[in-house]
Amino acid sequence: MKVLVADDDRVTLVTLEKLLLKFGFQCLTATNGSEALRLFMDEKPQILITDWVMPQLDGPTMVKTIRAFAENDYTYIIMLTSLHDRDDMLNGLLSGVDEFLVKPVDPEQLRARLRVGKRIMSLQDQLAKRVAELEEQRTQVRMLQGFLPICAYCKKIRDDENLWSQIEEYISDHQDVQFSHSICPECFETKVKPMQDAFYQKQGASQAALAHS
Amino acid sequence: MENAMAENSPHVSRGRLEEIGLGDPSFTVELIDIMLSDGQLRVSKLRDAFDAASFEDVGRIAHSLKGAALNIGAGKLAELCSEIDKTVRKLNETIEAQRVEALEAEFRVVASELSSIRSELAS
Repeated sequence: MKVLVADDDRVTLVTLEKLLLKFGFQCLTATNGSEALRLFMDEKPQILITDWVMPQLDGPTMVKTIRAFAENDYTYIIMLTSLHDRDDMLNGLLSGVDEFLVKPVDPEQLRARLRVGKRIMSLQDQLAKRVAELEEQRTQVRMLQGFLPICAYCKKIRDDENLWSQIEEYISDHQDVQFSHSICPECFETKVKPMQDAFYQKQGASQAALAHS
Repeated sequence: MENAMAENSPHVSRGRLEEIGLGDPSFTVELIDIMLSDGQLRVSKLRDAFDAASFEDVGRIAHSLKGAALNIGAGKLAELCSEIDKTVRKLNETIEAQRVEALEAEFRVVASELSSIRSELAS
């Protein structure tokens, strides 16, 4: 697992690098906030350990930027600082860090916090995979819902309960649509007009028969 | 290693050095070397910033040196840095020259003790 460490104090930086390698992590280092942000964007580490007071960009500003720009890829962030009063701790947590540790670094405490971070990132990873699976399944369901069995002759549609219904009935049941029946000009010519003609013809014949009788 | 780390002084905690050195004398020597070079550089920069009345820089440098001092077990140096940091950065007040002189003097003592420990570890 990749860990990025940002601190302008080289003694702390070298100490953390050695500890992280000993704990089995891959370690990247930066000596100011801007360099750390650039490395973060390029390398996408799963865990970030950052100091508060740093040149160019301070820890809380960097954390807020990361939280704002990397909403989908969660990073476990530990703030390691020699600022230690209550307000500092609250402000650090409010900026978006997950854990607040006070200098000097305690190797065993750091190892324990890293374990927590590793566990959370592993859960995050599982969750992301599950969400991706569900998204894929949803797409498949949508695709299946997109197929409607329709009778090739009468154009009736078969619904989920295996019942056949008229297309307008089906659409009215499944969409917020109502049908008002009308006749298009083409159907008027081919279907209605012949019936009309036949009717008038029949009516004419009846009247003629009545006149003769 | 045990002999070199056996004694504590008010200036450098050998126990802390042992803890942070992870039982590796060559790593402890590496940390001491960094502290001696970087620490000296920061003390000089802090003096320059003070002489130029750049108190914001004084606070930032003192804060950074405090982190290194805490890490290496130089408690008194860390305290002096903390006082300067708090006065300048948090209270927005200026500091007197004596504070900087006291910090410079403490760093010389710390550097001297670290150099002795380094010699013992390296031999």
